[in-house]
Amino acid sequence: MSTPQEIVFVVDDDPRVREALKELLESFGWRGKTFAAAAGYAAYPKPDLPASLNLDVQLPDINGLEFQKELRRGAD
Amino acid sequence: MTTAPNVPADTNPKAARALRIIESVPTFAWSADSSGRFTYVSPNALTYLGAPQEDPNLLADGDEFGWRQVVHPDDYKRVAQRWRHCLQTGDDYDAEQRLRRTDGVYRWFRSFGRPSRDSHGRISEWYGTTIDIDEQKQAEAALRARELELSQLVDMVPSHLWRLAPDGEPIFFNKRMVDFLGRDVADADKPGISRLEMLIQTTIHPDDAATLREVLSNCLATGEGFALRYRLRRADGVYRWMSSRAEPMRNPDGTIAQWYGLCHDIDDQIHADEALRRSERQLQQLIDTVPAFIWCTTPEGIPCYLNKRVTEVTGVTVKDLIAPDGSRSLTVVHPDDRDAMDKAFARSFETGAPFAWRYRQRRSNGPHRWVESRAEPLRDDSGNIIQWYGVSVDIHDLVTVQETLLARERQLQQLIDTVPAVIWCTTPEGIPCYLNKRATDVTGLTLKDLIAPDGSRSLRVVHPDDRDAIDQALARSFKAGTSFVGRYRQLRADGPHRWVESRAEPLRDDSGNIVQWYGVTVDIHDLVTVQEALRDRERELSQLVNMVPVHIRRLTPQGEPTFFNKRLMDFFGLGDVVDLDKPGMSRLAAAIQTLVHPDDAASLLGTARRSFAAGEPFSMKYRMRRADGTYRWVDTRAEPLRNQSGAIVQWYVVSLDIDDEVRAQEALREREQELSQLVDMVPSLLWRLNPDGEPNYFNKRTIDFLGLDAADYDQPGMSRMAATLAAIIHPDDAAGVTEALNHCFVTGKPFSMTYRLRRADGVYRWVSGRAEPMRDESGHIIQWYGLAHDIDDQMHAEEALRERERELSLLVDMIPSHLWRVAPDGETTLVNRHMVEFFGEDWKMKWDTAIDTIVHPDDLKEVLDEFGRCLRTGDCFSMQYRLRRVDGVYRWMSGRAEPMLDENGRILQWFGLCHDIDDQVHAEEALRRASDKLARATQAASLAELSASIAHEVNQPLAAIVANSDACHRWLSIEPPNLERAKITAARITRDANSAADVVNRIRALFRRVPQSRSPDDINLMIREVCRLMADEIAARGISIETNLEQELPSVAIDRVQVQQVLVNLIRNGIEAMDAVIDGGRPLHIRTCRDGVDAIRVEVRDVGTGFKNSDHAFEPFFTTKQHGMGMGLAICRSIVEAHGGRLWTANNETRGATVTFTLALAAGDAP
Repeated sequence: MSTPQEIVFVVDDDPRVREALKELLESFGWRGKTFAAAAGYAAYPKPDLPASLNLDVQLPDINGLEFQKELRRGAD
Repeated sequence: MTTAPNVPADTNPKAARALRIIESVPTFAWSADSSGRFTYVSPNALTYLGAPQEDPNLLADGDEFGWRQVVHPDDYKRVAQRWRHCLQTGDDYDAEQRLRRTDGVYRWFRSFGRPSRDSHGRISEWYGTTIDIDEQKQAEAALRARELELSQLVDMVPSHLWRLAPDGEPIFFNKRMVDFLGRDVADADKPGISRLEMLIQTTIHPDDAATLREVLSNCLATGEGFALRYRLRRADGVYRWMSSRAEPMRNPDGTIAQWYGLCHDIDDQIHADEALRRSERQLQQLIDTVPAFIWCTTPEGIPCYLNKRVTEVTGVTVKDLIAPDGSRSLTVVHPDDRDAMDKAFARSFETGAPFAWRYRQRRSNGPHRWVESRAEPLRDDSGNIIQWYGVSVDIHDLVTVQETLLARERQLQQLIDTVPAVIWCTTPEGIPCYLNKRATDVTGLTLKDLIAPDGSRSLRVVHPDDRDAIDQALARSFKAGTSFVGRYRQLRADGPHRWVESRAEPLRDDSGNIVQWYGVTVDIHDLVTVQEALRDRERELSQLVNMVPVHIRRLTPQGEPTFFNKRLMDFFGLGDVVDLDKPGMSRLAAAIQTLVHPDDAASLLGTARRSFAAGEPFSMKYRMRRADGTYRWVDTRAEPLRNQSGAIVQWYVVSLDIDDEVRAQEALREREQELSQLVDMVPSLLWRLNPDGEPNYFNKRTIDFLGLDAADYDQPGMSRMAATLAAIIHPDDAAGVTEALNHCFVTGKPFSMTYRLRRADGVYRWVSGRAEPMRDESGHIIQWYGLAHDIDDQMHAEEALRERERELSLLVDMIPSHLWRVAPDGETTLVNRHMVEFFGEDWKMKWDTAIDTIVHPDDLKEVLDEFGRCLRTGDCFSMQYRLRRVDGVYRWMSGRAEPMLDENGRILQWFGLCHDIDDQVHAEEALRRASDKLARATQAASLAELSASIAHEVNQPLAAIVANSDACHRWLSIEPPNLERAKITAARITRDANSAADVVNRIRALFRRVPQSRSPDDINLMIREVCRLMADEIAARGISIETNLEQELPSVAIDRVQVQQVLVNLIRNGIEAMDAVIDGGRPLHIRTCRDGVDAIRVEVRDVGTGFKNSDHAFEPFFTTKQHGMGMGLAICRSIVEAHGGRLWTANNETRGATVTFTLALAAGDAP
């Protein structure tokens, strides 16, 4: 099995949810990278690959919606 | 002279004429043949001789030359010998002889002959003449006789005669003078110095030379006669007094031709003894007087003649001596002598007896002089006195000399009598004949006492012990005529014997016979005493040298031993120093080789030789070999003795036996080492201070400990003590130690203190320091000896122990229980403070008596039974019962007691604990009630809030279940299906579904309770109840609850269960917020206080993660917890607000968050 090129980032504070989403992504042949908080995702060195981000709303460090705005601002 | 041969007169006319001439001259002529016999003699000779004319040789009948008869017998032999000599040699003949004239008278003739030779040189004929020289000869003989006479005169006069040139140079000494001087006039000539000066320098006494030069040069210059007395040096070196005179002889023109001198030996005269001189003077006076003072008187005594000298000397004439009445006048006689003189005269003139008188005669020039007059009568044949002839002799000098002599004799006598010596004389046979006065004074004996009755000498003055020896010595001297010397003890008149020395010498006359013995005896007692003392001292010194316990030896300047004292000899077992000698080496080297330890010999020899060579003293310690073969240490010192010029005369060497000391020193050193080791090894710090406290010794351990020695602390500007203390004592202790030490130094009391010393590594360690003074005999402190013992570990142990003791004591007293100890007989031996406070201060527990009063009556019987059984059996006691407090209140107690057993199992003590469980008992009851009500508290929350919370709590597991289900489906759908992963996801689905069911069950439980009515309650009490309720949970999480509850808070009307629910929620939130806190403690602060006048406030503060956003904290579904429904704070707020209060949250400044709510004092029902 070749290493999946596509990667999906998951940020959720509930471990049962992170665990389940990661399992679901991998069952589809995608690579799943999970984070318990937005800070962990932000600090993660992201490879230059096609990727998507699944972001929970209630997060321990920051609101998921707000974090999405920050990401957008950072992309601009 | 021989008769001449007859020559024929008619040989020839010429010859005849010659013959006539020869025969005419008044000279005898002759010829002779080679044998010496006359061939011709002139006629006048023959006539003179009265010989026959015809044959002159006939005269010599049987004679050698024929002239023996005519030549004087005294001359013949000489003349004949000469003639024979000339005949043999051909020398000219010349001789003088007397020839007998025909009348028998001999006259002197001189003969002269010369040989005539033939053609062969042989003597053919002798021709000669003989001349009458008799008158010449006579004159010559007369002259010679006179010359001889004069020469004899000059040489024989008992004086030196001499002649000087006009300039004074001696040109003649007579024989006597030559003999005297031992040389003739020219013998001492030297160039560059005049003969006179040489003579003066070599023969004139140095004291007289200058005078002689002066007088002589004056005479030579003026021509005046020379007269001087001086001492002249005889050939044998003796100077003799000479009376010298000289007069010049002048030429007709008046110039001085020569000086003639005479030098008369007057030495004997001058040096003659007094008697001789006196007699000589007397004689001289007599000689001088006799021709001068001559006088005559008539038979009647009238002066009739005085010689001219009398008049000259006395100034009187005969007339003056005749009185006007015609009698004699004695005006010339000294008045004192006149009468006696007159009477003497009268008597002599009367009797005709010779007159002799001494008187003083007045002189014309003044003073009287003593005169002796003698007169004798001249008698005619019939015996009548014709005239008196008198002579007066000036005896003044004699009398004066006599007086002088008398005085001198007296002085001598005095001298002899007063000199501090006994002077004595004996006859040649040794019989005492004179003793001076002192002899009598000293010995008390007179001359008579020294002559024994039999006329021999008596030695009774000599000590009996010395008498025989002295007698024999004297006898020997007297017999042999040798000098006598003797020492003996002389008996003194004043008692004790005294040592004297006698000496005697004989006086001999010219023929050598002993005339008398002269002796002198001198007191030498003091001398002898001194000598004896000296001898004693010498003996003592000798003994000292031999007996002093040192070895003394003397060496030559080169270092060769010459003397060993007896002790040294004995030490070495030597008989004599020379016994050390060995062939081929110096005695020093031999002695060292023999007597010195082999290990020391080389160095000693080297040192000694260097020292001797340099003249420097040396000292050395080495081992000497004793006679018994053992070596002993000696300390040897050598020093040179120098004479005045600094040269070394002797070396003196002294050796002191220091063997015992050396061994003692060694022992001492060993002991010292041992002690030093001891001092260094003892596990303490030892030190020593001087009386002022200056450290002057640290033992090794001290140095190791401090890292420095005593002197290393010296610092400028402060004493060593201060510097040392400052450096080594802990700053907190320094002042105390310094003060204590100074106090000790002042009072002399021992020092003892505990303080901290700084170790070399900087660590302070506790030591116990002690010091005591050491005092000398007079009690003065010499040193302080100190010791510091490291007690640091002990101190720390002690401190720890004390700490533990304090802690235990505190523990015992502070634990909120009753602790007690009871002896096996039931007597209480210990109760803790808590128990005392409980029962009251004056309570004394005695089980038998007190137990009735403190145990609740309902419990008493059981307690007594059970405790009594335990005391008996040793079983552990454990019961719950009520005890009566001092205020009369009974409280529930949980009592326990256990016995402590010894190794044999016997009970030593009972230890008991009695725990107050009254509150617990009550709280358990309350909690039971609270738990019942708590469930109902959630009924107060609104349904909507609950729904939201429930939805959030349930949705999460549902979302997970959905995702897992999709994944599981997928894992099973792919080809081939991943069963492994499918199983895992399926298990997760089950798990999450159960979790969701739990949530639902919990929510259902909340809603089962009904609301309670509100009642006033104490919020503080309520907080304590909740804490106790949650104690297990709190402890399990490592949380410490810290409460700060304001006292006297008013009661609040609240729904007790709901508020308890709020508190439980907030505490649990706080606890869970601090789950992530790893470092440090996890305190949870709960605080109550008034909030304004109408409310109270409760704060719960944690140090957990805090809120990211406080506004969301109360929203449904909001939770910071990993496992929670997020509805806690929302419910709590609704409960608080229902009680008219508020609830809010805030993050702390440092860490964590605080949740605060208020409750209104007059709370109405919730709106």
